[in-house]
Amino acid sequence: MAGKRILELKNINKQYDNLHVLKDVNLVVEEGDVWAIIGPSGSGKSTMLYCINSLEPIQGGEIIFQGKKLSEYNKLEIHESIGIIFQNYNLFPHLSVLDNITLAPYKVKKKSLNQCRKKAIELLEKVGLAHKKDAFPHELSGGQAQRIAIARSLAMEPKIMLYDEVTSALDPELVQGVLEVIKDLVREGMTSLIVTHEIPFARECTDYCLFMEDGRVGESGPTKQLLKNPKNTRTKEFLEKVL
Amino acid sequence: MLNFHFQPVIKNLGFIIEGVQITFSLSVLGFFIGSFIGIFIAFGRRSHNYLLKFSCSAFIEAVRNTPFLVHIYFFYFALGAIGINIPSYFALLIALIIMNAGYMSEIIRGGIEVIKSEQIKSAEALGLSSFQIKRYIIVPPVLRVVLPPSLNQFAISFLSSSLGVVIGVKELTWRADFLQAQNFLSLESYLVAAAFYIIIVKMTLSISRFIDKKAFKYKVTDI
Amino acid sequence: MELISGVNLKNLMFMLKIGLTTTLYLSIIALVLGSFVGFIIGWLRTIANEFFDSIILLFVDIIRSTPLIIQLLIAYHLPGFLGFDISTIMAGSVVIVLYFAANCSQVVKAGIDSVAFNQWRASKSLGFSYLQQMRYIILPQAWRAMIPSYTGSALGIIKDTSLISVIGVIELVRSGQIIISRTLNPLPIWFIVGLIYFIICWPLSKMSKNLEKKVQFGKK
Repeated sequence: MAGKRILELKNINKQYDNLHVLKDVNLVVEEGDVWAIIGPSGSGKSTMLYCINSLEPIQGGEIIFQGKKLSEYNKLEIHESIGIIFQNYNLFPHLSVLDNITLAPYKVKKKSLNQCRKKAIELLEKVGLAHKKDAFPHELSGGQAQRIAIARSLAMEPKIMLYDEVTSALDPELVQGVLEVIKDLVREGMTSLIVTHEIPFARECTDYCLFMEDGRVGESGPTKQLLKNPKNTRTKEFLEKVL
Repeated sequence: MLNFHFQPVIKNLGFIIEGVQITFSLSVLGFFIGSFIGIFIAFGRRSHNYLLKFSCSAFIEAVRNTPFLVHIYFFYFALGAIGINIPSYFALLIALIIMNAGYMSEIIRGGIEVIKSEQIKSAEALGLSSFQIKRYIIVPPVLRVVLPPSLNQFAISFLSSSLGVVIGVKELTWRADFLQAQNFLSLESYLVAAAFYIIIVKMTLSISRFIDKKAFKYKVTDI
Repeated sequence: MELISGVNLKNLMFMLKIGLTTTLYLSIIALVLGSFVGFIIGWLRTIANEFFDSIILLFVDIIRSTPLIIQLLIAYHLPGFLGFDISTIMAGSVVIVLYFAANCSQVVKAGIDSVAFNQWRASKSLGFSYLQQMRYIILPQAWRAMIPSYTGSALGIIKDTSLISVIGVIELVRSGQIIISRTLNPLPIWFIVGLIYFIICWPLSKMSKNLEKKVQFGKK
């Protein structure tokens, strides 16, 4: 898909103490692209996401977001523009669903409370959980909580959404609900990087696929092609194990 | 400015260490006898007999909501006035036993509640003997829950024994107080006594941390 | 009856007016100032590097591992040693405040540490600054965890104010002793002193247990 480059990773290297977790990672993401990121555990997929939204520092290479180096943005701009959803949803347990969603726009973006509430209810309707607006996180199922987490991130109006294995912690019957929400967002054109184990979902919904192993990019390319005819032997092995 | 003279105090180290021994004996006796009684009170609180349950709760609340100093004065002076003359050492000991019983009963109750009947039933269903069940299923989780607060309570009890000085029990604090009255080196005498308390309390807490690390690597969670 | 001689209204009023008010005064000063200082120390420990943290911990440990009575006795003699004049109740108050602050700092640090790391990560990803994280996400969860230990320590310090009687301050216990020195009848007096402490402490302990239950079920 020809389009403006929104995110570029150039030779990203990262170390945790003495562990070299990301080795020369390169990636080009254009606006509207949907990338699936697959690979064995410990391959650095989540770490890469955390580096993109600057939760984790990098030691080598450059991340270019919207044409500017990531280090030239202030933290607030990064977090407003890049949303992330975690495996464990991490909702704020002491706040209601509505408050969870309105808190960041209200306090961080300093919008009016009414505006935030209106937007929050719109987002809740979008993820199909408007009736849960006064519930508390512990009253929700995992799938519901994850959808609320997505609504919470969307409230900040990000340009890119990062998904870190968001269905891995869910009971199987709840997974589809969350994937449906992600599909809707993709259809609306949200640039997305999705770390996932759900290969059928990746085949159906994503444009490109990145296979990572041991901190390196093993292979990358259009999803359908990569999944059908992987060029790399390791990719092949991984897919055979998973499918 | 700050002229410390520790020598005269150090000269009396033997005298001070006698105090440490008395403090130690009081703390150990008070803690273990109190814990023993605490076990019964813990079970008493869970009994279905309303009178027993109420008395045990009343005892615990009475002990926990009144100052230890008042307990000591009560057993030494108040009982003395109606003819029950308790020597100071034993008045302190009784107060320590009662305090430990009151606090340890709650800690022990926490340990009792860790044992879930389903776990015992599964263990029985797997064919484990009664002894094996006790050794592998009951004792480890209970110890894990009970040991750290118990060691903490021992440390508290150890520090509380210092109140014996007010009724003349010749424990560590009394020794420091006695020395400073003679040599007027109040600061040095109290600091030396404090050093003993600090060392012993820190050792107790280190033991607690060590046991926690070594013996209980797993987390007790609801399965 | 001989058992209750000396328990007349005049003595009781004396005990309450001077003794109880001093005890309450000391308790409130300790609770308010001690909590404030303790909170700062506990919070500092959560952001300090290892070196400063171990220094703070050293001081906190020493205060918590020394019997309060020895600290009070030292406070009684120290000003003279250093050459300045300070009232006994002032010296004793400083000790009690520091003692409670040391305990509070442990409670505060444990409470803040108990909030899951994921909450920090999630809130940071939404753009919250450190202060915003503490105010809206971390502390609201931390204080719920702190309630049991905090109220335990608070009740403890209310009872521990009785120790200041040993260095001559006239609070509840000392006022009891003064009455006994006149009436020579300790039993009813110690009973009443205990009762007064009980009346102060027991409701507080009940309220804290209720508060614990209320904020626990559901919020976490």
